Amino acid sequence: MSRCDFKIVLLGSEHVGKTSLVLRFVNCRFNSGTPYQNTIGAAFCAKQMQSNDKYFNVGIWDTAGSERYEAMTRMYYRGAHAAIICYEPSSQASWTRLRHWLQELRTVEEDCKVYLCGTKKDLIDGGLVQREVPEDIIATYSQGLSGHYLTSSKTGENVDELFQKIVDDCAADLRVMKDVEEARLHLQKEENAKNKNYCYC
Amino acid sequence: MIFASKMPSLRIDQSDLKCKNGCDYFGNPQWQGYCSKCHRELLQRQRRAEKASSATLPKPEQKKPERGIKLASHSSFSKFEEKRLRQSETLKKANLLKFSVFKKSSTDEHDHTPERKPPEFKIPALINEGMKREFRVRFTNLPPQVDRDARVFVHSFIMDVIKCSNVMTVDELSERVQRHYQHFMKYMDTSPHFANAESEIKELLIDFVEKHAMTYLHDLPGVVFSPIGTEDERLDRAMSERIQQLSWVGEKHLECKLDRTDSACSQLLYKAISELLAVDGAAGPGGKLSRVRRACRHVLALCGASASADDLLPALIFTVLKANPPRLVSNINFVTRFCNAQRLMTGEGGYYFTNLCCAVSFIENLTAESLNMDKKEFDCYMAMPASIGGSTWAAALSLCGAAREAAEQRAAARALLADVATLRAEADLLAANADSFEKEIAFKVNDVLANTPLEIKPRREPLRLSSLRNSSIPLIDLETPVDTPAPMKPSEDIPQIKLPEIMPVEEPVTVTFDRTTDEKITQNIIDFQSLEKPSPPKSPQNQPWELKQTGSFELLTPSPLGFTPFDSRSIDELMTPDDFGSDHLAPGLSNINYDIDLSDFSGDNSLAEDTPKEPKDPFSPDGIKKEPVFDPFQPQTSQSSYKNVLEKFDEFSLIDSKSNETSEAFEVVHRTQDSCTPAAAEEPGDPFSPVQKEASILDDSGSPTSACLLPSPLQPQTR
Repeated sequence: MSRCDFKIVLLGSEHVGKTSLVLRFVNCRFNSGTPYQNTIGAAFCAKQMQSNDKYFNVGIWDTAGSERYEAMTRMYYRGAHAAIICYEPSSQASWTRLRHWLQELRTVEEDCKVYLCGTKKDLIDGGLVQREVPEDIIATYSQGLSGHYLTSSKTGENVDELFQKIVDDCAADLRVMKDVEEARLHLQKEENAKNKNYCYC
Repeated sequence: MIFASKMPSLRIDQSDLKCKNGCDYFGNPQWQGYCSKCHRELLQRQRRAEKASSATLPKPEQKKPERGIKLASHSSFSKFEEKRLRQSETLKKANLLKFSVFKKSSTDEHDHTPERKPPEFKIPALINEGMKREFRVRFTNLPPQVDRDARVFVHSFIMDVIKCSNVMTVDELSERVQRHYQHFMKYMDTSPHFANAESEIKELLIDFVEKHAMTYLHDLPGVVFSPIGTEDERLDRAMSERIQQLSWVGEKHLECKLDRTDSACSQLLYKAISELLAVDGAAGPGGKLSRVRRACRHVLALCGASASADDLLPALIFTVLKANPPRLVSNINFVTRFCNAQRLMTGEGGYYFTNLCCAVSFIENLTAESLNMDKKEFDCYMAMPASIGGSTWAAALSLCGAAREAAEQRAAARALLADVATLRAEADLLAANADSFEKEIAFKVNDVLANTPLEIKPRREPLRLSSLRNSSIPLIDLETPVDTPAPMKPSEDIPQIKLPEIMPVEEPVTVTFDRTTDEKITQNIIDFQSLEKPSPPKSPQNQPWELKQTGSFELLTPSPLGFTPFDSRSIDELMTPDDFGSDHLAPGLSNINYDIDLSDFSGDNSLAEDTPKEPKDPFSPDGIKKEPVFDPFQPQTSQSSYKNVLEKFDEFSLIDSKSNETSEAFEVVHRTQDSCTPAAAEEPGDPFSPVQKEASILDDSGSPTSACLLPSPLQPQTR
C-alpha cells in the first residue's frame, strides 16, 4: 500500500548526503523487515519498521536541496511527523542553511520532531576533512530538538539508530496522541450527556 | 452608542432619527436607519437581486484558493481575457442556478428548515448500482451491511456536499469533506460491521467511498471542481499561458540530465507527459493522484537508477513545461481540497503530488535567478514569441509520438502475424485431418470392397430358384426330403437345425448392408434404389410375412447359404423394371404397378425423411392391412407415396408368391401368411398340413436375418 503511518522529511543543502543516507537505510537493513515497496530511485522510500512489537510503515521524503527550490520545501514538510535536517560538519555553509529550516520548522510545523544529522562521519574520523562547525554550537542547537546524530552512510554508522529513534519517538507520540484523542472524545461524550441532562432539567 | 459612531457630536438632530428614505416615520439603527416598512422593502429587493445572481454565494474576492497558487498577473492578460473570464463565470453561475433549481436547494434554503425540506434531488441510481457492483468484486468477504453502509455514506455525503456547496466557501467545504472522511473512518472503527475488517481493508474502503462520491461530484459544474467563487479557472488559463511562454526553457536551464537524442529517454518523457495529460481526464482525486504517481515514476526512470529528489524535481518541472497539462491548477486544487487528507499527506502518491505542486509553484515564480540566468537574457527569451522556443524538444517529442505510434502499430502487426501463424497452423491441421480422413475413408471403402466383392452370383441363384419355383410343386418336393427327418424327430430338433444355420449367417448380414449401399449406386441409374433401401429397416421388425421380404433383400447380396426362400423370387422379379408388369403378376395388378412407378419418382425427396417412420408402420400389421385396401386405387391419400409403394410391393410379393397357389384377394393373402407360421398352420388341420408346415418352418429358418434377429417368436411357435 502506498499509505504510510509516518512521514519523515529529509532536509539539507545540496551534496550533503541526504540521498545516500536514505539509500543506506533502505537498502542495507535486511535483518529487520524488508522494503515493502520497490523504490524507483531514492526520492521516495517506504519501509516497514518495528517499534514496541508494532509495525509501522515509514515514508521517507527526499527533498531537492538546491537553493532555487528552497521556497518550495515548505510543501514537503507540511504534515510531517519528523524531519531530519542534514548538515555536513565540514561545511559551514550547510550549517547556516540548516538554521533557516530549523527556524521555519519551529514556526510552521510545531508538531514536527526535528532531528539533526551530521553526515560523512567517516571522513571526519579519517581526518580527511576538517570540522568547521563547532560542536558546542551544535549541542546548544540540538538541545531543543528531538535528537542529534553523527552518521556515516558509507559505513552505516548510526544510520539505523537514527531512524529507529525516530520511529520509536513517533510511535510513542502516536500512542499519546491516541490516548489524548480518546480522552477528548470521552470528555466530549460526557459533556454531551451533561448537556442533555441539563436540557431535560 | 450606535449614534455616537454615526455622529461624532453629542447632539442628535431629529432628522437623524427619521427614516433614511425620507418618509416621515422614524428610522431605527437596527433597520439600518430605515423605518420598518422601508427596511422590509429594501430587504425584499436585495433578496430578489441575490436570487437573480445567486448572490448567496460568497463573493469571489473573499475567496482564495486554499494553497495560494498566486500568479503574478501577466501583461499578456489583456482586457479581453478578463472579459472572457467574466463571461464564463456568469455562464457557470447560470449553470449552477439551473442545477440548483432542479435540485431545489440552497437558494431558498433559509426559508425552510433543513429537516422539513424533502430531498427532491435524487442521486442517480447509476452510482448506487456501480458501487454495488464494484463492492461485490473488490470486497468479496465483507458482509453486505458494509456495502450498505458505504452506499448510505456516499449518498449522504453527496447530498451534503451539494447542499453546502452553495452556501460555503471552498475552504469550508473542503474542511467539511475532510470531516466526512474522518467521520466515516471513525464509524468504521466503532461499528460492529467492521469489527473483523483489517485496517488495510478499511483504507481500501475509504478510498472506495471517496472515489465514488467524488467521481459523481466532479462532474457537477462548479461544485467541487474549479468551484464558483474561486479563481481556479482563471489560474488555469494563466498557467497554461505561462507554460507556453516558458517553452524555451530547456533541460540545460533546469540542470537536469536529459538526453534529447536518446530515444529511450524521449520515450519515457513522452509516457510521463501523456500521464500528466490524463490527470485531467480522471474523475476522482484518487484517480488523479495515481496518474500523477505514474507520471512521476516515468520521470524518475528518466533520471536514472538512483535518482534522488535533486533529480526528480527539475525533471518534473521540465516535464510539466513540455506537457502543459490542461486545467492544471484546478486539478491540483481539487485534489488538495477534496482528497482524503491522510492519503495526501503520507504515502508515495502524496509525495509525488507534492512534487508536482512544487513544480507548478516553481513555474509560477520562475525568474531569471531561479534559472541561474542573466536577467537580460531571460527577458529576451520571455519577449520571444512562444512558438519559437522549445521547438527542438517539441520536434523530439512529436517524433517520439510518431515512434510510439509506430511501436504500437508494430505490436499490432506482430499480434496479427502471430494470429496468422496460429491460423495457418490450424488450417494445416485441418487439411491434414481432412487428408487423413479421406484416406481413412478410402481405406475403409477399399476394405469393405475387398471383403465383399461385388458378385452377381447371388442374383443368379434366386433366378435359378425362381425358375425352380415356377413349378411350385417340385420345389416342395425338393425341400421335403431335406426336412423330412426333422418332423420325424420331436419338435425340439428343429431349433437345433436352425442354430447352425444362424451362426454362419450372421456375418453376411452385416455385409449385406454395405452391399446395399454399393448396389444402391448401381441401381440409382435404374432408379430402383427406393425399392432397395426400405427393406433393411423392415427386416428387423420381423412380422411373419415380412420375413419373405428380408429374404428377397438378401437375394441381392451374396448369401452364403445356397438356400433362399422361395418367396424372394417375386421381389427379384420386381427389381428389374421389365419384370414389373411381367407375366408373373396378375394382369389387373400390373396397372397399379405402373402408378407406383410414377409415385416412386415423385416421392424421391420424401424418401429420406420418411425412412425412419417406415419401420413403425409395417410393425403393426393392421396398418399394413388397411393400406393396401386404399392405396392402390387412391395413392394421393397416403402420407408418403413411397411407403405405400413399398407396402404395395410387399403385398404384391406376397400375392405374387402365393398367387401361384392361392387366390388374388388381399385378405386371403394375409390369412395365408398367418397360416405360414406353424402355430396357425397347425390349427386349421389342412390335408396338406404335414408337408406345408415343414415347408413353412424351413422358410423361416431359411431367411437368415429373420432367424438371427428374431428367434424368440419362432421358437415358442415351433414348440
